[in-house]
Amino acid sequence: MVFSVTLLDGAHATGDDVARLAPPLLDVLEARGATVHHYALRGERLAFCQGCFECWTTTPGVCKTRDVGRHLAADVARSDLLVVLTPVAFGGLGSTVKQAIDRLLGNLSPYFERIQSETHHQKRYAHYPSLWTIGVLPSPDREEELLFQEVTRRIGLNFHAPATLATLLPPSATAAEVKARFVAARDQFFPEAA
Amino acid sequence: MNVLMLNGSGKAPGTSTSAALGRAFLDALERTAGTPLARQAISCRKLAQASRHDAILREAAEAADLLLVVTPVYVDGLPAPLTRALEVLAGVHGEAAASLAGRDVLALVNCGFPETVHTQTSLRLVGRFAARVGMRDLGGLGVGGGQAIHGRELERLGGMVRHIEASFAEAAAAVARGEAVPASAQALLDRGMLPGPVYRALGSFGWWREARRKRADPRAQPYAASRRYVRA
Repeated sequence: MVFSVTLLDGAHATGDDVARLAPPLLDVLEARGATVHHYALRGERLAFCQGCFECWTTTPGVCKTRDVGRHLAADVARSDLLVVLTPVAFGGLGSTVKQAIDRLLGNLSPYFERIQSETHHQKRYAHYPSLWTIGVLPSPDREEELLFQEVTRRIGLNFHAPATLATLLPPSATAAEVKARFVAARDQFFPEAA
Repeated sequence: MNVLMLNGSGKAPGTSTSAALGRAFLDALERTAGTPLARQAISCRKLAQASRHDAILREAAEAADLLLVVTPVYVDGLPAPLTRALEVLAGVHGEAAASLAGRDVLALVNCGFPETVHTQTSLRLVGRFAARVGMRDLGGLGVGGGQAIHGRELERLGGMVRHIEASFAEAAAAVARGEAVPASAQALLDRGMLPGPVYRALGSFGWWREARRKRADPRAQPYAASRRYVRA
């Protein structure tokens, strides 16, 4: 079985504290045989979501904007795991990766349902990926750590993720620390090795 | 008082529920304070189109006594253009805005679901922004059922939005006194417009009707694994 991963790399700039995490992350994912669709978003032409809802009412499931947003929505819909790599912005996702996440709205149905006593959108597809967010916190902040975990849980709830996990790293994390954290987290999502 | 209304909505001018709510709140604040406010509004959808607009944003924020963040919820958080605007003010993309410390920030967050719980993470995100830049966080209000407002001015919507008007009056009175938004103002909003099951049924019907009008199938699965998808 092919384990498919979409990696949304939300580093703001090449070579920054977030961008340097992508190569070891790819190594860790590919070491288990995953097929990884890697989007380094800082170099992509990606418009922001206009909130027009045409992805629900005019071209259901497809954003009207013809850019990489369509490709990443397709890859996410067919993945087993969505990995979001981002600087932590005030406890949430950074703007670069949030732009991509906002564009995934069409992967949901417009119709409502009740989940955990709240209204949410129904599934468009039978299968949704699990969600693993990796955030680089600019400086220690317990409230932002908790908020990042909550944001991750709620995005997973919205997108019907079977499982969610938030990993937080300081900018000063060493290569060995990063790899150990990535391996431990990865193994929560991948099927047991045969 | 100088107020900068920073609108996170991606919608075109005249169709933004966030802008309509922001104007209604500022009207309530003006009525309470008894003096006109100096208002400036900036749409993040404009800012996101060119980084040269960052300087305009910094300058406007530095001139404001109150930063009023008005926004819809996008996937349980702030829309990307608004997140970027706050990052700009905090110095993530260059120079931070100067002299924000001690100034007030307030958030009005709306969502398309009937429950206001969906606005809580966004309100907390604005609160953490305030903490990062040293602004005084006056809290905020979360409004459910934003889709029913659909960018229209509140005074045109009658009884459906009485609870919002009552909440804004209470919150505006507190802000005019220099105090944070009281929990009782949020409690008024938590009542909602319609019972959840009714809102869900009407909302789903509305989406079905809109798609049908456009001869589209809202349940289409263009990226289903069984379908061939070729990158352009």
